Amino acid sequence: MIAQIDPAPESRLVAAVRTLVFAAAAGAAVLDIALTAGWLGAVVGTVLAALAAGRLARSRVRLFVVWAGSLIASWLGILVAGWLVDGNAAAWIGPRVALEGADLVRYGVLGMGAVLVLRTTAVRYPVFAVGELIAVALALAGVTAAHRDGAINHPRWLSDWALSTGRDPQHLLLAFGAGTLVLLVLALLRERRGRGGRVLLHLGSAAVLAALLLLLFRVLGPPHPRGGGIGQGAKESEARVKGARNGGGERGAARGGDQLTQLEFQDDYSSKSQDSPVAVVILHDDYSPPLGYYYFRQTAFSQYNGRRLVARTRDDIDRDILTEFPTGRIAVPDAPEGGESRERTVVHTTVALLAEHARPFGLESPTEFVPRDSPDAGRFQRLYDVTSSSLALRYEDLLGRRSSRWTAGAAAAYTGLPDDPRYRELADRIVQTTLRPEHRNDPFAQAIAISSWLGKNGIYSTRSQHAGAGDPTADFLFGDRTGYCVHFSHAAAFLLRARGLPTRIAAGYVADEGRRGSGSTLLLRQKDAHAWAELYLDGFGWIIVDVAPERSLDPPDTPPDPDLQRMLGELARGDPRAGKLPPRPGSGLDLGRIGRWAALGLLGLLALLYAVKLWRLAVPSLAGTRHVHRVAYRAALDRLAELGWRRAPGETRERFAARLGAVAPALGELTREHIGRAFGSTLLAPPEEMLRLARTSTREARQAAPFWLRLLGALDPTSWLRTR
Amino acid sequence: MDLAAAQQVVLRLRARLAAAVKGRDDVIELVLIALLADGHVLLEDYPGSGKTLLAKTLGDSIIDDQPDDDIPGFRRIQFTPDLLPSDVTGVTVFDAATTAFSFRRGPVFAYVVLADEINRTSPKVQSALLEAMAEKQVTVDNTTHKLDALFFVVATQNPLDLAGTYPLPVAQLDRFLFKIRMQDVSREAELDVLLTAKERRSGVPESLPRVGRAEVVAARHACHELVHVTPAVHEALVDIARALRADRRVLQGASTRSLVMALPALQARAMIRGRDHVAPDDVDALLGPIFGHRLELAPGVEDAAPVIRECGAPLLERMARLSLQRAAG
Repeated sequence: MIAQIDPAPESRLVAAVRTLVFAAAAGAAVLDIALTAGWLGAVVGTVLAALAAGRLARSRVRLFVVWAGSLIASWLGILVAGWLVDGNAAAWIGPRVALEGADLVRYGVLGMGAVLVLRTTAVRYPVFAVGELIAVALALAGVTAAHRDGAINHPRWLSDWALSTGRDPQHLLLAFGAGTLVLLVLALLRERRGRGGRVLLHLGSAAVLAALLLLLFRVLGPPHPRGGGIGQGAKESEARVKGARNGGGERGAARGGDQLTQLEFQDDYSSKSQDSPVAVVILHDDYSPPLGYYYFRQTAFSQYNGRRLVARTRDDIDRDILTEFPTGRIAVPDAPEGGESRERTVVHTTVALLAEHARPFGLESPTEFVPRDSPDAGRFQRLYDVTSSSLALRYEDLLGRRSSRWTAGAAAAYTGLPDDPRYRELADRIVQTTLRPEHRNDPFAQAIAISSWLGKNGIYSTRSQHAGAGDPTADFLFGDRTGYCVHFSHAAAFLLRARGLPTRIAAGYVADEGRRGSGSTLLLRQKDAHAWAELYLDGFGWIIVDVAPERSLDPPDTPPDPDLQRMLGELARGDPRAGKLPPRPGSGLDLGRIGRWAALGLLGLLALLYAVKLWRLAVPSLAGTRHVHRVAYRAALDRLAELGWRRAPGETRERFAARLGAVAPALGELTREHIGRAFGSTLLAPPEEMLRLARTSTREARQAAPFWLRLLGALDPTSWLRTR
Repeated sequence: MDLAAAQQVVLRLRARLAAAVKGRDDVIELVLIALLADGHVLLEDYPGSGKTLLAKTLGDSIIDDQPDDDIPGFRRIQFTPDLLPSDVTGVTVFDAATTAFSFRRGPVFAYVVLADEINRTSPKVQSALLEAMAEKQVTVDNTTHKLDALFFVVATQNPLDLAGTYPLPVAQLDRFLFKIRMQDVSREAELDVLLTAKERRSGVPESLPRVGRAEVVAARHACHELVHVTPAVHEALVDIARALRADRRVLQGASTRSLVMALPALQARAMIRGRDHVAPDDVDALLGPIFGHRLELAPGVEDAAPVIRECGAPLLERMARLSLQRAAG
């Protein structure tokens, strides 16, 4: 009934769109890794391949040959590119041309091969069209890969623009993802050759889905980085698996309710996703630590369990460690005296937690915690103010103090260590060999001696082989002395305890003072988690005895992105201008203005559409004999189009009328008169008859349509555009 | 004769044909169109599907209003391999009584001629008939004899059973206005054939009036003169023919003659439908029958119908849009 139309032009359009998508995906994929020539090569290669692939797929070439050919061609391309750069070619054509040429060849051939393989496979076996879509989606997603690990200021081209216009880049990225999703769904439907109306319906559902996603994001907030800590949090299970593989040393040692706050010896502590920010600390006072590092104590481990130090089980020790977040202002028990003194200075800080933590932490020696409302609850899990009494004097001033405050029980807890005479022997030897006699019984001098000995003789590495030993600390200390902070802090603690000094291990975060730069914000990342030993001095409190190994097998630490640090700090402060630049005067890109104009233009367009619709509806009764046959018929067609009935392309008007014969019988007569006028008939109906026929056929059609369809049709400003 | 009277003539013929042949209304209409357009038709169907009955009833329905000219209303020629041209056209015989040669007319001298199984005879005989069809005359012994103005050939051939046949080449098929492939009749129509077999045995009821030969000729004339064809239709016809020639699936496209023959056919259809103008609908309906047998298709292409449909669609669309344009009104 409906005439088939030639599919050629439509499929050409689809081919063009597909080629464009491929080119865009290829360009996006290599944008960050290729030179301009390489980018050009990738785009041109994919376009050529997309054009050739359709023909290739319809030829008799076996799919296997296409795959093998593409692989070999890609391999050859990489070889040629390598030869251009490394071989003699660079000498002849110059380094610049060689580099650009190599990129051109490499990415051109790779793009061409990939598209040839994907496209031919998809044409031969339509189900594999999904492969194309996945490739395109991955390429587009790759553009935003820099945004991982909480780096909300990347990729710069997107984030900078978003921030300069006052938007949250995460929303933009989400919109980007949602848009990609819609495109993918659309492309999938296109592959299924759905009919126009269906495609619209599915597209609409996809858009609703994307909008829901955005709404969900709005309500639930952005995804949070995983909690940090040394062998804590999310890394726990990973560590256990590794421990089991390495001989089952630590298996199950840290189970139970307190597992988030236990130290673990791990053979492989390195991890890839440690760049995620976990917290932001804002310093309200200009405090410069004498040690050069800001220490944030979250928890402490004091009791020896036969293998290592674990969290307290007694009530009389480590009372300065809070076990839960404060609900109101809380003064830390057993904290050093508040207020300014010679040894300590008061520092006010605000801590904003990006990741979930089991307990609060604050700048070393906190005296008071005050919870606060988060300015951005979606981003910051918790926010609290900390008042700390931080170290303000030089180490020399700590000499000559005793550490005898503790009761017998507490002192025993603070001095428990493995029953191994080697600790005492080593500790004695270090003290004997490095300290002058008058200092040999001074607690702080001994601590300095032992930590600097460990720093000199230890080797820092996140990969070691001690976790399987019965006493990992002894295995480390009397073995290769290679390990990371857990090993070093245990070694320092046990050596000090061997000298009878009350010592514990504290864990939390540490940040280099230099990182702060000229700002007052410190960004703490997962990899900033640290453990250190602490010594108790009468009249002062716990003093940090951190070992700084002079040799390291690991690459040096990279500081966090200062932009990200600053931006998160501003967000945590609740600064309304957080992360945003002031609007540039005269930049011309005033979005509000553009939006208003766009809205106005849209309204104008809408009004114009309605005006034309009404005019076309009303004009038959105004038209004279010359035009009534045309405009009356057109008005009837408009009303039919409102209800969704329209002539198919290539269908004659008579056939269309016959198709609607059951719905609107009068349309046949109307069509006949209309065609007669156009095709030279001399027997024409009078205008009144035409108007009557047009009205009758419209009425008949409207009677056959449900109310909601009539309503929608009447409201639709574009219905007349669909009249054919 | 005006258009309404001409339409009445055709409708009377149609009523008689429809009474005799059940379930073939579309074929009847095409045959009548060909009759009015002064063309000939080739029916392609299986034996026993009503071809002969159709042709015979048509011949029977036309009153021979010139009994003196010795031309009957209907003649049937059964083509066989051993048929000779003179068996078709007629032969000059020596009359011993008058001692003179006289021409004895062959079966082509009739209003309606049924050429049964035309592909079963030799090309020599086929071309004799085809000359008669094209020229409306036969030449025997260098003497030309005019055929009747209403000379109308209904040829048939069997689409299967091609062994020992001489298939008509495309050039000869071109002489036929339509090649009509009769479709299977519907169940109801076939049932109707059985139910009415008894009453139809006595022929078409006398209540359905016949038409005179002169009336048919006049209707033909009225159709040619009075049905309007706009330039848009001419353009569409030419463009469709050009599109068909350009199509890769077509080796040999439609001839210019076929376009010339198409015009009266379009007019005839418009007239039967009671219109005084050719409409896009006529073009749409007649594209297949007119062009279907004139195309030589590329190897591997079996059916001309989709080719014609695809080539015609853009032009039909153009005509459809034309009517809504201001200049057309």
